[in-house]
Parts: sequence; structure tokens; C-alpha cells
Amino acid sequence: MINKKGQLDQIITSIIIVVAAVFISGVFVVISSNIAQISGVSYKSSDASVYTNNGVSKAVLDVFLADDVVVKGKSMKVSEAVNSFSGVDGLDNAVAVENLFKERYSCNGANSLGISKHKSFVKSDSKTDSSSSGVNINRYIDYPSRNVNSDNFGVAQTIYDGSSSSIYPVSFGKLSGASFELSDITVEVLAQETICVH
Amino acid sequence: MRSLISSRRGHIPTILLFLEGLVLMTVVWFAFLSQEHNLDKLSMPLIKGSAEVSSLDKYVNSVAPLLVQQSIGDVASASSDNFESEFRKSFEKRAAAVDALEMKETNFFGLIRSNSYILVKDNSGVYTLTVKDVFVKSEVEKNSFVRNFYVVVRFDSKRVLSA
Repeated sequence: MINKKGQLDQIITSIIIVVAAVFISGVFVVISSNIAQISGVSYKSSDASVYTNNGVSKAVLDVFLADDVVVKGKSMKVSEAVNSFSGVDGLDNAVAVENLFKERYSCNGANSLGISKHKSFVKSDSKTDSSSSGVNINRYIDYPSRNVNSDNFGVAQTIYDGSSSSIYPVSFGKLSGASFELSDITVEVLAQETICVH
Repeated sequence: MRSLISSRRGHIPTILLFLEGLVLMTVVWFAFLSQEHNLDKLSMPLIKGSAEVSSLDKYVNSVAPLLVQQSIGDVASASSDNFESEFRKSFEKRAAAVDALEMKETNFFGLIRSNSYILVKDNSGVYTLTVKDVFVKSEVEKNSFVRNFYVVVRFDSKRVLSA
């Protein structure tokens, strides 16, 4: 004999459970989609350049540093010549290095070269009991903005305090191409052309 | 009424299934909540790696014609018979000097150093330098990007013609 009452109870329970399950599934999907939501990116595609240096500038910089420069009849690598900028032969080396860049790598000023030295400092004022910090910049070469000259070569060019948003003076400007650290001197190149068309 | 009450035991498994479903849902929600939802943080390593490999690609394709141009200048005074051999010597020497500056994630300089490149001259005196199977590589966190390509530079005894 079929127990109709037992089956009826089971059917009623099952229907209720199925409806509840469908409802809960719907709630699950809605809540899950909100929890698992991934927000879009907030940066622009150009921000990727933060992670790369300029491939063209880097190529010109590397080839320039590995090139040979003649100073007072003696041939040496550009990287060696730059390392002695703060020594006795500094000015002669700097003029030779800048002339080499002008002649072979600048493409009539399309490519820029910057060579500088930075030194951080902290200055204390005993009267006001305060201190300030900044960066002392010695810009040896800033081609094509300024040519190497003997008047202020080797002399600190500018002092900035820590509050300045940019440590480079307006007339020099930081080149945004590629840079290379040689001991405590930085060599930078911003290049738009590799092979200069004469 | 009594039969209804007595048949309650049969509903227990059904109700337990329902409760089990609720527990599973809760576990899944906890799993979702523990995930990192910041796409910036997730995608930046990929963008960085991709941008670095593009930059290296540009670097190799810029350095090759520069080295060729310099080597042409070095051997300007060589006779046409010796031009190719003198060019090869100068090209390899200059490539080694650039490679010595710092390590780069590419096999371009290694191929030059091992003389694994082709230099062909045609009837019009135009040379074609081909470096095959060059790769550049970038590794950022657990992501790795590799790009393979050929480097081709055409030049004559005076200047680079195309790269």
C-alpha cells in the first residue's frame, strides 16, 4: 500500500526546499558578484613608462660611454674620462667629451647630454635650532643648453632645500631618457635619433 | 496529525542538505573576500614586464646600427679587400665594449662575440648584417617575458642605409 500521507508530506517539504534553494542560489550569485567585483585599473597606459627607460636613449648612452675620446693626445674610454671630471684634468676631459658628443651623437642638438654630480647635505641653524636638508648639484655638462666653460667648471651650481619638488634647476632640467651611474657622477642622455643624417 | 508528526524524521536529510548548502555558500564567500581585488596591483607586474621587454627590443635595434656606423668609421681607410675583415674586428670590439658596461637580458652581444652573425655583400657593394635568433627577456616577480627577433642592418662602406 502506498502511504499517500507520507509521500504528500515529502512532496510538500521538497517543494519548499527547492524554492528556498533557488532563492538562496539567487542571493548567493548576487552577493558573490558584488564581493568578487574587481575594480578597473586606475592608471593610464602611459604610466608603464615609469618602469622603463627609453630604449633609444639607452642605446646612444651605452655606445657613447664605450666610445674612445682623445684628451691631450691620449685615447681613453668616455667612461674613464668622465670619472676624472672632478680631478685636475677635469675641464680638459669635459671639453673633449662634450665635443665628441656634439660631433657624433647629438644630431645637431636633437640629442641631449647631461653629466652631473649630486651630494646631499644637512644644514643646522643653532640660532633657530632648526635644520634643513637638500641636494648640492654640480652640473658639468648640459648640452645643448650650456657649453662647458672654465668659469664655473667644478664649482657647485645650485643648492636646493628638501621642500623643492624638483632638484634640477630650470635652465638645466632633468633629462628623461636614460642614465648611468659612474662612481658618484651621473651621465644622462635623451635621444630622439640614433643615426644622425648629415 | 499524528502521522504528520511521526513522519518528520524523513524531512531531516532534506533540511540538512539545505543547511549544508548554506555552509558551502558561506565558505565560498569567505574565499572571495580573502582575494586581492586591486587590479592595479595584480596587473602592474605584467605591464612592467611587457614594457621592459619592449624597451630592450628597441635598445637592441638601436644599438646595432650605431655599432655598425662606428665600425664603418673605424675602417674608413681600409681597402675594399680588407673592408669586411676589418669591419668584423671593429664591430666585435665595439660590441664587447658596450656589453662590458652592464649586464643586459639579451643574447645579442653574445652572438656577436661568438661570431654568430651573417655579413653578406651584394653586387652593388651594399652589405647586409643579419643576427638571427636574438632574444630579449624580462622577469618581474613570477612573470617572464621573452621576445625573439632578427636584427638586420644594411650599410655600405660609408654609412648605414637602413636598420
